Amino acid sequence: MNFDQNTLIMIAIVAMIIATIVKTLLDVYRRPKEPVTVVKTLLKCIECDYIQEVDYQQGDFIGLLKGKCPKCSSSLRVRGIYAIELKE
Amino acid sequence: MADSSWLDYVWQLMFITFFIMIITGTNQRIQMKIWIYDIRSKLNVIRSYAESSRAKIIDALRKLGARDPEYSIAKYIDFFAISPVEIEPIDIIKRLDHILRTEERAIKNFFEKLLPNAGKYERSLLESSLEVAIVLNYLYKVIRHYILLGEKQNNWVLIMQLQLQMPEIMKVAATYYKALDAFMSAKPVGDSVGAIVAYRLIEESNVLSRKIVEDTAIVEARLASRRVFIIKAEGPGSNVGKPGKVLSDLVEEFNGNIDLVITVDAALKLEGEEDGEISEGVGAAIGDPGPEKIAIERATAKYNIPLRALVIKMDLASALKPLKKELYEAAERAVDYVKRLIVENTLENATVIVAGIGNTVGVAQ
Ligand SMILES: [Zn+2]
Repeated sequence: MNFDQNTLIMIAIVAMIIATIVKTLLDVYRRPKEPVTVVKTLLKCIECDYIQEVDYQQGDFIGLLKGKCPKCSSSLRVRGIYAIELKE
Repeated sequence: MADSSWLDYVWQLMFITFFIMIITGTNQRIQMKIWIYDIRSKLNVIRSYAESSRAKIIDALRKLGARDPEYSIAKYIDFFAISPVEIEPIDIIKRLDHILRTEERAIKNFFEKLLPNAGKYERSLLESSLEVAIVLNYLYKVIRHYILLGEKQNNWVLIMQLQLQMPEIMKVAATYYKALDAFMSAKPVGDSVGAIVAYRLIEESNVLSRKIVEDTAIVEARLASRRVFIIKAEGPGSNVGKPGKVLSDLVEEFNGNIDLVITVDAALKLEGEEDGEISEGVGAAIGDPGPEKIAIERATAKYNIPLRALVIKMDLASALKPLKKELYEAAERAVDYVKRLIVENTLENATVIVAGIGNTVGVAQ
């Protein structure tokens, strides 16, 4: 089967139009992916230098006394609360 | 070439059609339809943010025992404050302060009536959450206004501008929506870095006295052989306090015998700057609408007290979303920075005020 020049140009144009429409629709529908984050609570012993990072629990705030130190059994205090991005 | 002649006709017809479309602007109209479709689909996302934030607040109110929260929230979701007349600047700060305080009191009273049995802490979280919901609701209404206007007037320039700005607007909307979660669950946000720095300074120093004035904590302490007053909003609820007013009263109490004032706050970074960069400068680092900032400036200018500023840089999204680890680490570095500033700029036994500015959600004192 032999195509002449005009047919080839037509095919090229139609292909370009379809590609543009598909691209436009993709742009409309595609949403940028949000990174997944987890929130962590950093606990530090008020006496020694024991530090532990645990999962954030509702009610945690910086300055809260929470739990006992496994090393010297004095209290642990929340030192920081922060979000970490998870990498898939 | 008999079979290619019909192709020639199609070819020419297409060319003529394109030509007519361009001359009559039909292509523009098709483009506008595509844009409108795109904007509307994004607007639907903003609407879902607005509706869901409202639903979450109503849900939280009901759990705390509020009666008929739908009605009350519907009444307050369009709450607004009108800015004072600016062409007459005399006493504008006083007028602005009055309006801001009235607004604050109105929202506080609203929640006190709605939740007579809830604590100050829970109420403060809901106050901030309602503010977020008000912003989202307003954003939705403004975008809807412009797209309807553009469609009605066939104003493709308006639609095009909106289409170009939509990605940025969507980012802002998503940021506020995320902030809602932080406020409802009382997690520190990026803006809390100032409060965190203040908290850590209190923890590391030898505390002499503590008091709370106007939702603001004043802690007197010994730090590096200096007398240091640390000011921060009262936590761990969502609260920015009145650091300017409190600082200015404190300076007056000492008749200006203060050797150094340092303000620490989060600041918006420029594109290209790193999150968590610490910058040092002079002036009052505080991002309030005016009254608090000017109180700090006036008090320090009156007695010629050096006013130093330390800012931790971040973008708007980071400032409102739960605190990123990089920013938490920056706050830790800023604590040492403040201590160095105090030691380098004052002699022993000097009196210094350090104000940690920002929302103290999730940070005690
Ligand atoms: Zn320990």
